[in-house]
Amino acid sequence: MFLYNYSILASLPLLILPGIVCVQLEPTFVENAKKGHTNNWAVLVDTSRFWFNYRHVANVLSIYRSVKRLGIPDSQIILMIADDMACNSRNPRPATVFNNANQHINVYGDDVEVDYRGYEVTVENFVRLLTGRLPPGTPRSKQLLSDEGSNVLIYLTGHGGDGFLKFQDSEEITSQEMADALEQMWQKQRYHEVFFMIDTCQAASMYERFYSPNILAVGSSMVGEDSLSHHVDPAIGVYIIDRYTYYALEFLENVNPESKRTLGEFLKVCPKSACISTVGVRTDLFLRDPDKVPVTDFFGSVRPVKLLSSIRMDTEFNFTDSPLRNNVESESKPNKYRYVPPLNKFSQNSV
Amino acid sequence: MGLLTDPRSGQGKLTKLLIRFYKKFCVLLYVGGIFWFCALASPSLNANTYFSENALLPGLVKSMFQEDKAAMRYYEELVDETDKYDNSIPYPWLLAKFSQIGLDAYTHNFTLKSPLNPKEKYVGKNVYGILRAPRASSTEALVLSVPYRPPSSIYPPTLPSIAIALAFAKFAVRGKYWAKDIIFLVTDHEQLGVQAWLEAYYGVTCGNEGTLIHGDLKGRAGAIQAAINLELHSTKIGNIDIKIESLNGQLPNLDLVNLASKICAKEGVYYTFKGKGIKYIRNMYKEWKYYFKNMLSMISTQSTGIPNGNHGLFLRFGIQALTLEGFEQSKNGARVGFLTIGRVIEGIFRSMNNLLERFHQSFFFYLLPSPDRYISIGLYMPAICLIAAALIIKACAKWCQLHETNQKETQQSEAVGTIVGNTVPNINYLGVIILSVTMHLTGAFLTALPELVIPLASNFEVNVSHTVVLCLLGVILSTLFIPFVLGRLRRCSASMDFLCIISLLELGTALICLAMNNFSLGIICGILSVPFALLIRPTTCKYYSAIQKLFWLIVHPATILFIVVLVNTKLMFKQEDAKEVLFRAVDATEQSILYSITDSMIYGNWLYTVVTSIFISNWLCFWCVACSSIPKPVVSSEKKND
Repeated sequence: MFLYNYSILASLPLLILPGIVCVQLEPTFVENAKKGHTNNWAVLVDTSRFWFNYRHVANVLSIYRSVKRLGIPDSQIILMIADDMACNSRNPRPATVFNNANQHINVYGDDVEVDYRGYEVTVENFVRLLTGRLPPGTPRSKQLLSDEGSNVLIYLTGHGGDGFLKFQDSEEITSQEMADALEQMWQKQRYHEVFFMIDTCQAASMYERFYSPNILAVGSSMVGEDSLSHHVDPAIGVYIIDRYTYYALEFLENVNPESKRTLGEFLKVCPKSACISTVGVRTDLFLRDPDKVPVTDFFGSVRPVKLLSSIRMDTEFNFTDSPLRNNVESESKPNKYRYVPPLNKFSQNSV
Repeated sequence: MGLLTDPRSGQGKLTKLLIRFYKKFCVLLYVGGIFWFCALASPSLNANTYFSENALLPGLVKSMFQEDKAAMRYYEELVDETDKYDNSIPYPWLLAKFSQIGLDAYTHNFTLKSPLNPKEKYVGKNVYGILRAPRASSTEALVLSVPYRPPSSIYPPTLPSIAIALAFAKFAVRGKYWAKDIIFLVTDHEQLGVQAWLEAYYGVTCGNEGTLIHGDLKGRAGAIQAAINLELHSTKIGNIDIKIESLNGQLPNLDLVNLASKICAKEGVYYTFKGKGIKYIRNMYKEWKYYFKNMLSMISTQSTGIPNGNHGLFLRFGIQALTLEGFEQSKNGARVGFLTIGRVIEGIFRSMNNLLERFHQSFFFYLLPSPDRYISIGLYMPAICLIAAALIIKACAKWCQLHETNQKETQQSEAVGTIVGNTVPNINYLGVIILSVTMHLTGAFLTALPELVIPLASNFEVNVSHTVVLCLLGVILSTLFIPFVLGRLRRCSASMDFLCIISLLELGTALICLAMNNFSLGIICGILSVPFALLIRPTTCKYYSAIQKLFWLIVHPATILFIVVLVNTKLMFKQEDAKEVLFRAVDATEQSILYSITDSMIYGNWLYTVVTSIFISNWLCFWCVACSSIPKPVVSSEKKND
């Protein structure tokens, strides 16, 4: 009896599906999507806590502000912040975080959605987020729901060393773990291209081990170098922002969703005279020429949109056929991978 | 360890070398240790101070303090107020000011039963106000303490510091950035007040039970993380001296010292350590001399184990603390007023407010040859280790020597036909150990003596302080005669050698242990006692015996104390004639003994305990060796090895 009820419930979606309008995409759109990207995601992480690391929180919130301004919606930004600077009892200006000594911009403004906060910012959560191996029931805001058409911006800031990045005060992620997580993302088709940006000491060591395709990486300093802070805000009494992020923001502030500034320009924002450390860039995994890639490919959310001329209604539905997704893919370019619905056969047999 | 235990290793090459050259080696080690110690002051061996604690963010924040006029008003009111109170703290005024400013204000009563006369009682009253951190739970606190000194006090006045503390409280109460409570503490009766307040805060008694009755506190803040003690002698400050030496030679974390000097430098206040500021000297020798003098000056203060300010009592509780003492006179006539001093305090407290945990990053064991240079424990310990190593090497060599003579004797006796065991036959182990234990019991008796004598003396209507000192002297003098009642043991050369060996080992170990806790005391004891301890041996020569006895009497702790006091008195009263100086010195010695006894009873200072229970016991063991009367060997066919 129980089993019977259950199997009816399980087959319910299958019964409803024929009524759903199935969109038949034109092959040209898919072709476009293969060339470029179809959506943008950003993973912005501050890994360090404590009041004296105020600048790291200011760094990450500034980048958050920029990508949001350039069009990535909050639902596609994963913001991880290890400490609550705005409400720290030492903050002379409660409920604000500034990234500049003159306090022009409160980067902790009205609509900041912090997805992972405080002690949730761990290596495990970060790797699970990237690889999509999150426990069932994880809210959408804590998931990186990217696909093979996603351009993902990963920004990390905190305290690093040769081959690792410290998370909180207790653990660290190694460069090998980072590289493996990205490879797993690639194998699971979770990205189209990745722009990996890291502002820590010895930042270049973090992307040295990458071996997956389509990754452009930039680090604020080479191995053996320290990344330095930019300036102090005497009113708050802390170092307020790091050098590399400061100059990167200076560049991004002049970018709007329509501008044609390229990544090649962005990679040169902080010459050694300004940064004191040498900014490291890794382009060998990236197939395109950075000078021809618009910054908005990663920081913005400009997507190729094509209006459809016709909508085909799918009137017949075959039970043995797999649902929606296979329909689309079977008519587009054949893929190396095939979507297999979990326990499809089993549920049908039980009916 | 084969060297010490394996009897056959006596023939080893190393042993032979050791026996042959140990005297030269010991001298070399001792001289090396002294040389190392002197070299510590050289700029190539010490380093510039630096901040280890990231959380401090020293001096990054802009100074906002502007309550200098309020401070001046408080000062004038306070001066009027103190005239109304002879000898006690003007607590109604202070309480009113604290409440007016907006702090939780409390008083704290404490009682001292005089350690030398339990019938005498003194009472005191501390006043304190707590500024509650507006946006944090009251789990952590900082202390700003000021000693209150009535106009009749023999010490220089501190009223300006109370005024500035109140003005700072008035300023700080408006700040919404405090993450820790700030306790403003005005203490009575110098160190007694602070000790009683701290004991009451933590509910413990550090000295003897029933001596200092600490009472109870009505208001508390969280765990105290750091404390600053202010002693400003004037409203215009020419220089600020940073005082760090604390109870039993403890020192505050170097980060706190660095913080104080950094903020002083930032606000443009001339700051000094031991009265000497930062100086740049081109000449290498002059530079070394400058640093060496400052280092010695720190060592002389630290070695006594007596705190040179009220900060010294905080350290026992894991609270890093220092005193800022402000003097009016300055080197170039430049003086700063309340505004700058207020900003110095603000800077230090804002920085300490940033702390996430107690001070723990930087050094706790160091020497300062200048406010901006430090000598770490890793650099200064080898000096005392080299000096103590001379003792231990000599002990090893003597042990090997004993075995060698024994083996020769064994061979001889085997030749004659008698059977001898493996052990050295003529050492009376039991006798020597009983003797050594007796000496240590004597030391322990000396430690406990004041507590035994005081209740007795107070029953018999005699002057307690004289009685205690006389009893101590009596016991010390009578212990000098212990060796002469030993009898056979005294005449046994091998047993006396064995006693000498264990005493050498004990002294070496004691010196290193002491230096780990209080390097200054350790190095002074080492430099003074080691050369004479190395000379001592059981001897047949009458002259040598007399000389070593004389030398050894000179390094008796009581003699050393007297000589030090005598020299000090002579330096202080240069005009007076010798007889007067001698009387003064005797008086001062008595006082200093009494102070060390009362300090150990009230504050738990362990100088008296260490000297009586370790150094006097050890001294007595050596005294027995020095007083041994070895009969001259009848057959002088064997050449003496030592």
